[in-house]
Amino acid sequence: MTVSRRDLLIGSAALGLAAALPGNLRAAPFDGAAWRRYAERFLLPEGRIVDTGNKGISHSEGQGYGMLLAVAAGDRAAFDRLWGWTQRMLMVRGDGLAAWRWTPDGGVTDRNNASDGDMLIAWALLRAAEVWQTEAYRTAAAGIVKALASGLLVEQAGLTVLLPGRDGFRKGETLVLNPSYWIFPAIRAFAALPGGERWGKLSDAGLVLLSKARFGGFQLPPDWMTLDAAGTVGIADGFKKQYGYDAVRVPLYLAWDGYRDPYYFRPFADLVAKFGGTAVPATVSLPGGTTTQVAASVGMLAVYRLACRLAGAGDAVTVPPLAPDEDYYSTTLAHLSALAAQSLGIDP
Amino acid sequence: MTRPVLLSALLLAGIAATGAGNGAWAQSSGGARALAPGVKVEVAPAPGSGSAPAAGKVDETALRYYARIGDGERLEAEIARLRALDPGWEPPKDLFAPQPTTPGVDETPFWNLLSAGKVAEARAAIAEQRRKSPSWQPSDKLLQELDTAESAGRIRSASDTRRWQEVVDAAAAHPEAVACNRLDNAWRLAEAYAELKQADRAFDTYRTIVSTCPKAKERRDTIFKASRYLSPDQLRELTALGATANPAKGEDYSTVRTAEAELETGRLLERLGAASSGAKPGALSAADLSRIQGIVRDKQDADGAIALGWYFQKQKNFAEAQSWFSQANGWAPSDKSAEGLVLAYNGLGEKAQARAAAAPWKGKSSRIDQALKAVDPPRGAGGGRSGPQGPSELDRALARQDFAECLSIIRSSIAKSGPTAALLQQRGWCLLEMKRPSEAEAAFAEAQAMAAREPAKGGQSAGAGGRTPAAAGLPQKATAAQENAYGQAVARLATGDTVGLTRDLPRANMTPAQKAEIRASLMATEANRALEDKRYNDVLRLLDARKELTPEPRNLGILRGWALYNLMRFDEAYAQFKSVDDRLSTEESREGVTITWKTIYHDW
Amino acid sequence: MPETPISGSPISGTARIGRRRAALLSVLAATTLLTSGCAGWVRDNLTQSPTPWRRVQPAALPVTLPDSRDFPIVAARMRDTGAVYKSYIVVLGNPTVLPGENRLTIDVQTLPDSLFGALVQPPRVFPVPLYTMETLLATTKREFPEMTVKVADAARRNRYGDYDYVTAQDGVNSCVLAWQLITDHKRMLPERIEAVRLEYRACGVGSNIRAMLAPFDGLSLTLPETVLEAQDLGGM
Repeated sequence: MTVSRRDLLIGSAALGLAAALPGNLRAAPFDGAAWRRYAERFLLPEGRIVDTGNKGISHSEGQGYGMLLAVAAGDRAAFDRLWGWTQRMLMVRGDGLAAWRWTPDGGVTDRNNASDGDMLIAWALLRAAEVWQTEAYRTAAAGIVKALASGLLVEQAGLTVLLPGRDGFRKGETLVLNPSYWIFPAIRAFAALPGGERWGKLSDAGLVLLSKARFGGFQLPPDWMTLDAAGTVGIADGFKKQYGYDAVRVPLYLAWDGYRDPYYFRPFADLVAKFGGTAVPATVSLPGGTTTQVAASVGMLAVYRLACRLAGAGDAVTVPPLAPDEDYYSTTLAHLSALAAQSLGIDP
Repeated sequence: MTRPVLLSALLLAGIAATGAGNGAWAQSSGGARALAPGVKVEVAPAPGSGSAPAAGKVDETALRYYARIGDGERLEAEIARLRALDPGWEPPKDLFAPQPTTPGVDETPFWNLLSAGKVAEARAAIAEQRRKSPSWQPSDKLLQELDTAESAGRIRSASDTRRWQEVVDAAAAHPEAVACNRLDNAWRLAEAYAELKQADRAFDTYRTIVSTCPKAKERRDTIFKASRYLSPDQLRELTALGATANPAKGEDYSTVRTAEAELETGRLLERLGAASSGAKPGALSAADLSRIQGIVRDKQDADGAIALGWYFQKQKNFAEAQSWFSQANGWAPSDKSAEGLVLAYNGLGEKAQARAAAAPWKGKSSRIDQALKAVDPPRGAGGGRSGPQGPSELDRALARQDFAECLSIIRSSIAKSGPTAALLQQRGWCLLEMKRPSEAEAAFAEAQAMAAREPAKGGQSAGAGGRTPAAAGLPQKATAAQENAYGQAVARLATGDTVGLTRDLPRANMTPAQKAEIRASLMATEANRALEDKRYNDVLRLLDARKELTPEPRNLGILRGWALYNLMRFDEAYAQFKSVDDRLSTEESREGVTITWKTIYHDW
Repeated sequence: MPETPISGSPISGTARIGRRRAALLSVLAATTLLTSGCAGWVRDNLTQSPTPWRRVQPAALPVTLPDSRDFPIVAARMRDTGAVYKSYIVVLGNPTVLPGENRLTIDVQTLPDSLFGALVQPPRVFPVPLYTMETLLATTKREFPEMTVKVADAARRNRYGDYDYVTAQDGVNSCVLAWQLITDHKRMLPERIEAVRLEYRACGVGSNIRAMLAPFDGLSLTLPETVLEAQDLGGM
């Protein structure tokens, strides 16, 4: 099963070659056709999104992303199937939040929630309520938002922060946080709900933390960070100390919410610049800066393209087209980047 | 504009100062200075990278901001900086007049955050503002100041975690972050070079600091910092430079000059110590020895004299040793110098002199009591002390540390001729040695009651009787009552009765020295308990308080290390363990160093 | 933990999702691991640590000892561990010149009086079994250095049932160490009391072991609720 280092090198070289070919200079827009392909590949009839990169499991994050894309594509039937499955299979905790992980063999095997999954689901419901003028979606969203606010929003060092899950992210006085769980546009939508002031503070805190959580030569945010009682941030123990698959979403969410300050996008543009915009490594160890041989996926490159534009680095990244067997996460990131770019007016 | 008059005065003062060529900023007219190859120190912040204001059009954003908040010092500095950029520039006359709101956005809130050290908050606020008004751009000056503040933070954290190359890189990217006004960072840069084995660049960095930063104290501190990495020759050069280069008015650089001599003494004494302890015999040349004797004499350095005394004592040159210990004791009387003196006299066979030297400290200092055992067969505090005849049976038992025998003798003595306060007190001490603290406490209490009934012997205990009162400035001699109270306190400590003892201590009849000792022990016990309870901040609080009373022994030093470790103050924990380990490396200290190191660098 | 990208694809979300799970596990593991060692986090159980010893009057002890010339009560101390344990030390006179204090220690374990108390019980202050051969050897070596130690073959009996003991002797003195765990809450112990642990250590002059055990043989417990004696049971 182990992929040899050499295979990987060949893989990234091939990627570089593909990127150098002309004809793919523009990121693919997210449209009806894109959604149909996405649904064919990842949406099962019962209404769950399959994480093809992870042995076919499903999780609250996937359901949230699927629901967001379904709303964006105007596919209400698919949206209802996704939401129905999510309610039946994941919202079994009794506190209004979703269990984060479901496996075909064992069902819910870990009842802990993942706050970003819950946020994505609630945000998708709010957007659906808007698009299809359906109060029931809004009510459901409000319930999730309320549950999140009461169980996951906590105050630390004068900041309002979001715990990544109900259980296991407090180490004494120190919190373990995930910068990529700051889904800024969702947070803004929650802040606009009645009694949503604390969500506004969460946004403010997110920007402060992203300014503090800059490590290593590229000044990148870690996938998992700590915040102690004095407000000092660190790279969390017990996780791979790296910038990678999680934190790549940081610039995506910032851009999607209309942030344009190059300061917040420069670290990602610097990383891309260092690797010539082609075989960007998927992860960077922090603070050391060792990069993996694994290349960033198409979806990650799509995020970088966005980040580079906002950092003022121009079109430094060429995003190759999605491969026929592109996995769930990469495909999702690519589509989300397109949605974010559309909302910023960068791309059609 | 609440205080226009005062602010105008500040402005005038600022211009005057600049004209006089005084202060750090006046030196900056040359612009950037090379701190090291590839790294430049900006004594004054440089104009923004790539967007320097065009000639004749200087960026007055910061100037107006400082004027608005009334920060005279920085206003003055900014005026100097702008003058340096454009000699023809004059401060605007309307500096203190209310400004029409500039089109776009008022930067004051961001500057306020920056001034308060809230750099991340300033960044967040700016990003939010830019989201709301996409056409607005913060001023170059604001961005520059933010970059500098962030780089300074980055240099600090990289150096704290020993990522030396990142220190160098960060300094190269933002040279303003290692300027004289951020001297600590300049030191960190030099240290990074030294750790990266780029000795020349380290030296260049130190040299730039001592020749450009104007304050004498800063130059002196730099020389001490540099002593860790530089050779004696380089230090000499650094000192010479620091004492003469670019003198600022009103600064006295003589303290810079003496830094080298102090370092020299320290180094020699260290080698002397090594030679005395036999680690490196003969490591000291005759020239070194005579130099150090000169320095110690010049400075009347008691500790130095004691070190010399031990050096000679080790060589059995008792006369020379005695003379140095005498010197030390004359300059600053202490039980440490007296201890050496006692042993030196003893080496010379002058036992009477030795006893006389010990007298002020006898019974007050375990050092002295120990030293006296070399002079006389150890004598207990029992009945026989004042007798002219040879040591009693009890004294001999005590000399052998045969405390069971001590108990036997005292019991039969009491059975034969009844108890005395002195006997009961001695019984208390022997019971303590036998790990029978509850009975010891009772014995001291009994002794106290007995003493109260022995009016003839009055305040002085039998054991301590007959000596002349202590000289002024020396520790107060304990009375028998105080000695008994002290014995009870020691016994209560041994039984774990810390709460009761803490409560009773303020009222106890003990000498201040005795009280301080018990108090320190109580705090050590409580610190241990706090560690077990995982109240780590309490551990530090108690140890800090204890340290005020008496130096911290190594076991408590290790305790302190673990408390810091558990507070996740890993760098401090590492430094703490390292300092204990550097003095005497034991399994415990090595464990602390290793575990902390592995935790910091995830080297499991 | 599946960290290796699978199915030949160099790019996979596996590592990411895998990490989230790993993350949670390791956070929990770290917590468990660290609370037990030096490298801990602050735990919120200060009430579960023993208080310092404090002195009490002999009258406040939950035990009455027979009068003894050789082993009078010298001092008494007690401490609490959580709301569950009360421990007492009665220091007795030591007529020998041997090191170490003669003493009776008593640990009274009560049942928690609330659900919360039941959930957060402090660790037991005495081991069960009270001794293994190894721990007994270590204890006697510490208590009676340089003496000949013998474990008594047969148990002895006091008011609260059978107990075990060791003897230690040198040419002049003899010592005993006796221990007893009273857990018969069906018949002897009041319902509030879970267990009582007794340990007795005494050294005396001579070789009369029975005399040295006399205080232990003759003690009677005086807890707030009556502890029935073993003899009482015969009449019931």
